[in-house]
Amino acid sequence: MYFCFSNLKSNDMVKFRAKTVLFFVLLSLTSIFAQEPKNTITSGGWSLGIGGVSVHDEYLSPLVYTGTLFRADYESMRFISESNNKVSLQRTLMVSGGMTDNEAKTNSIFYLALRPGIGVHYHFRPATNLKILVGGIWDVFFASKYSFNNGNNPYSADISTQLNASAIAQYTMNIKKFQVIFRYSTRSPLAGVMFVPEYGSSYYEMFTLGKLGNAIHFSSLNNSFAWNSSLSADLMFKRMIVRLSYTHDYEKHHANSLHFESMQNVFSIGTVINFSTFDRGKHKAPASYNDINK
Amino acid sequence: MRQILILIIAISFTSCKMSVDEPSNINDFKTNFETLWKIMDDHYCYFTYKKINWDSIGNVYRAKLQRSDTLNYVQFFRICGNMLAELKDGHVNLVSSFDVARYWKWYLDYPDNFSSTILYSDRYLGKNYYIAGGFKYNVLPKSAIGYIYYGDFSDGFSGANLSYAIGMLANCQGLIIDVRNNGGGVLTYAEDIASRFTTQSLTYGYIRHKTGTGHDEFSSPIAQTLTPYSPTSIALN
Repeated sequence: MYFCFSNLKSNDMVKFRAKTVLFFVLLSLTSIFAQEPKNTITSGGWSLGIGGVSVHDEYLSPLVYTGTLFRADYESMRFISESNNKVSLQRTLMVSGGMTDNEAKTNSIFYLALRPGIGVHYHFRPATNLKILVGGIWDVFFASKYSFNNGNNPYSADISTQLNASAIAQYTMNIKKFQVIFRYSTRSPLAGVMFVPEYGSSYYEMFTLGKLGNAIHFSSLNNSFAWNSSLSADLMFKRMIVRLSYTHDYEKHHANSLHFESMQNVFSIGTVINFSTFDRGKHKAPASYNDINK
Repeated sequence: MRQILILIIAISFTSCKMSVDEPSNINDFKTNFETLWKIMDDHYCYFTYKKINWDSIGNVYRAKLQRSDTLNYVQFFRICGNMLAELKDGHVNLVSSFDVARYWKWYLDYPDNFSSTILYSDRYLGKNYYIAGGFKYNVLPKSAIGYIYYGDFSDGFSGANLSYAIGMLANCQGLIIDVRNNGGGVLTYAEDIASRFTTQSLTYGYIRHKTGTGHDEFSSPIAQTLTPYSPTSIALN
């Protein structure tokens, strides 16, 4: 089957091919990371939360907008191979959205954010019940903002991909027969690439005419800073694991004479499921097997 | 170890706060006035083109603000609206919960040239006109002239809508595309219509944007090119 785009110019065709190649490279990388070993124990869970959000987007408004935010977080972790109990693979996904208002309540901005990521950590066990994980996470951040009172240029997007330094401290506490796992995780981007529109450039100019100008920037600590911290407690009930958590998610970046900033404070509740794929689920995992939770 | 961890957690949850300074008092007239003046000073792009001295206008209206001892919010809003009207720009509005300050002299000071009553009379579209996307069209009565009314460049249409509208009027000896009473909208819609009436690429304008807060900080002009309409073809093997 052939698709013939008769109105594409040669330059467009080159760009189209480059994008296609890039898409398949990313797809291949994703599928490599996504491949599950034959036998594995994976700990994964969703959390749903509510909290506050503050948004400052100088492309849309010079004011800070605040409001209520709903947020969902997914996280799974497993060792990278059957024989390994030192290096784990982590997948994360954050989806959040909320309506924000300026202080005078004269305008609203709708905020929607998405951040998938994949990370690798090395496990240290310095003491009984204590585990320290140190590693890195590669993530893609996308935030969409719509200002209701802006007649022209009502939309703004944050798009970036970053390599983050990441650390997790996990402490298991036994209270009589009841077990609680306290977990503190933190991460901060070191370097990456980000999209920032030029000061007065319209999205029509950038994406319809394809004139991005100086919109793509290398990001590092001099023009971009973020710090995500989360404290959680996993309550190990007999039939289920309940996760209570508090997340503080702060991000700011600056380029093209424009400043962007956002902060989320969210309380969440969720559940964690440990699932094993042993002999295609026919048998329970042997006691000697490397359990990601230990 | 435990103390270090607790210290890290405490720092990470408390050290990051919004760094942007909010106006100290959002109800203060002077603060609001200066904020509005600066937003325009930073963002408005026609100061030099229209030979407007914004500093001078700011001083005039700042003095009006200071002369008023007992100012209510409606009077204050009017002062701000009048300051913006000095720009003589129909696209500049100041929106509050009780009013929208606007500059409409660009059409209120001129005689009307459009009547929607006539549009739907038997002289133009009549009652049984066609609708395709944002287009209303028909053949003008007792003539061989095709007539398309497109009253809002924000009203979307597809390539098929346009093809059918033009196709239905193809046998006419002339065609009127009426865009009167139009408030503007999406530039690509104008391009889509115009691309049906050219057989060669045309540069019809240039676009540039502000790159900073200075009155004359602009990007290089980019040519806006119209390309002849060419339907995308899909060949199946």
